[in-house]
Amino acid sequence: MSGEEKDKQSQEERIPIETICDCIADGVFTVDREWRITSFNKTAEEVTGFSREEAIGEHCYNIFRSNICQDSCALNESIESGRNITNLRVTILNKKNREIPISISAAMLTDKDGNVVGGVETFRDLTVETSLKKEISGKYRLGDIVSKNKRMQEIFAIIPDVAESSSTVLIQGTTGTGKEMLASAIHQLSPRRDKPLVKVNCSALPDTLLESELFGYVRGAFTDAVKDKPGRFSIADGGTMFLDEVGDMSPHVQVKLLRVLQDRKFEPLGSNETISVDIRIIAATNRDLKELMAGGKFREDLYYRLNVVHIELPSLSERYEDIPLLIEHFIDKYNALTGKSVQRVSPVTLDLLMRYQYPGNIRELEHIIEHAFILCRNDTILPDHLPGQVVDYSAEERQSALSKAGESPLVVSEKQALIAVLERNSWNRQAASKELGISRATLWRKMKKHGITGL
Amino acid sequence: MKLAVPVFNGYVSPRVDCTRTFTVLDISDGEDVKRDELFVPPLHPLQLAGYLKSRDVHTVICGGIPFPLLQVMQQHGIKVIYGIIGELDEVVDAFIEGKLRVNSNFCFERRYGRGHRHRGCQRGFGRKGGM
Repeated sequence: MSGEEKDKQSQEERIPIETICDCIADGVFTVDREWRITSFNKTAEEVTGFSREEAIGEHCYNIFRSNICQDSCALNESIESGRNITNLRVTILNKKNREIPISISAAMLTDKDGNVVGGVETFRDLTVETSLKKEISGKYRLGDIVSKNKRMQEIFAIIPDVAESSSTVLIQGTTGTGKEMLASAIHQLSPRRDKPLVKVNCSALPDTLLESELFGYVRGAFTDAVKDKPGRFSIADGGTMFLDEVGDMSPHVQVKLLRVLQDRKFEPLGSNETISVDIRIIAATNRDLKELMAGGKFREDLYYRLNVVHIELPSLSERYEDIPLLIEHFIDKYNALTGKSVQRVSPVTLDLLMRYQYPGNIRELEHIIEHAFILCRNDTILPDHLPGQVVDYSAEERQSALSKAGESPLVVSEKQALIAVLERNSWNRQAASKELGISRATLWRKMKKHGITGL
Repeated sequence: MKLAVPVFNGYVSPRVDCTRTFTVLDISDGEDVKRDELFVPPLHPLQLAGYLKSRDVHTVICGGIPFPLLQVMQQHGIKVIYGIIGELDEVVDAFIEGKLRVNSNFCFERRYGRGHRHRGCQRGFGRKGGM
């Protein structure tokens, strides 16, 4: 068959673009240079609710009504920058004015001579994905607290009842484990949610100041007392008081606190007038109160008044399975705060973050992500963006920790080496196996052995 | 009686919760007495209703509006005429003449002002107007 005949035959056999596009699961549409829609596939009809007849000839922004149409149209950006946009998450309004989350990719259309004739956009409906995510995060979330850990889930289960009952709560946990967040969550779920939640850190103030801060004073109580000042207990009346680091309270203030718990009464400094208050108390400590009691530093009767409901918050090292969930939570948070669109951490970065010990617990993890956000320029957080202490967590420490857990140091080294080579070759297994001088099958076996998924 | 219309390049904007600039008109005795530009600060979308209400807006004319925001606006006692496509002046005239109706089906046949399907209309959008 001659070339001409071949051309003619293939032209007749060639499936029209429209038919192809109608079979694609993604929405596909094109616009001309005036932003009028020139083609609109079946999926686009289904997702937007507008028919092809309605859409063709209309301005794309009147069909899609996306949140970026007016300020930062993706098609416009790809034309101006000359670069395709991929996987940008936006929301559109369908014909019934319901918001639909979609992920879009945009590119310009050029003719044979390189002139821009319009643009093409494809998009994927994220509704199912988004609602699944919400459902999962609903189970793993209490207010701002995120966890799939068994012990935390047990705490989540009892919190609504604890909140409702207004009983005194004592939260035990090391620094940065979320004691204040839990107190907030309890207050928000309680009948006192419309009244104040007053927080006092008992270790932040010297004893004398703590007393005047908590109970207030009257004019003339001491040299600088030029007028009456209400104490935090007065301000919290009807609401909740959160006493952080209650273990650091002096014995004198402990006595006064005990009276508030027992009789709901106290006197401001320098006053004989007794004030009555209705307060729900949530206390927190990172110290071992039983030990303090044994040493005579903490009153036993106060302990039993505070310890009506006892909640122990696990440290982050006891809830390692929460690290990926927390990372995602903080990425969402800092995206919203900084306006960036970071999507993920790279596998090696996640590995480093899972190995680190977090003396500062969740608060430290948050600071690490915050730090990474400052350095991260695109959508993936890499080891370079992490602060020194995470990366420097030495190979020795790592190996000794793991060999205590039963893995031999040699095995750990091979895993590290594999990851390093894969990362260096952008996770291309062909290139990595070449560098290592092993076959692809051997590399695959080794990856399986060490649990490296390469995702 | 104050009327607020989110605008985009002289047309009713496609989506009210993503629009920063509104034209607020004082309508009295069937006359468009005064016009002001209102620049809305970054708010949670559902707060827009309260914000407009605090500026004595009783009616909003717009194109697309997410359903929850529509409900909140109505709860605040703001009348919302949505699904409107067209040039600002033509839309306002139609409103004053009592001809403006909610276009809940978002039907493109109902358009105010020069339709974009008309031949010769070179108006595009974006900073340079068209590509």
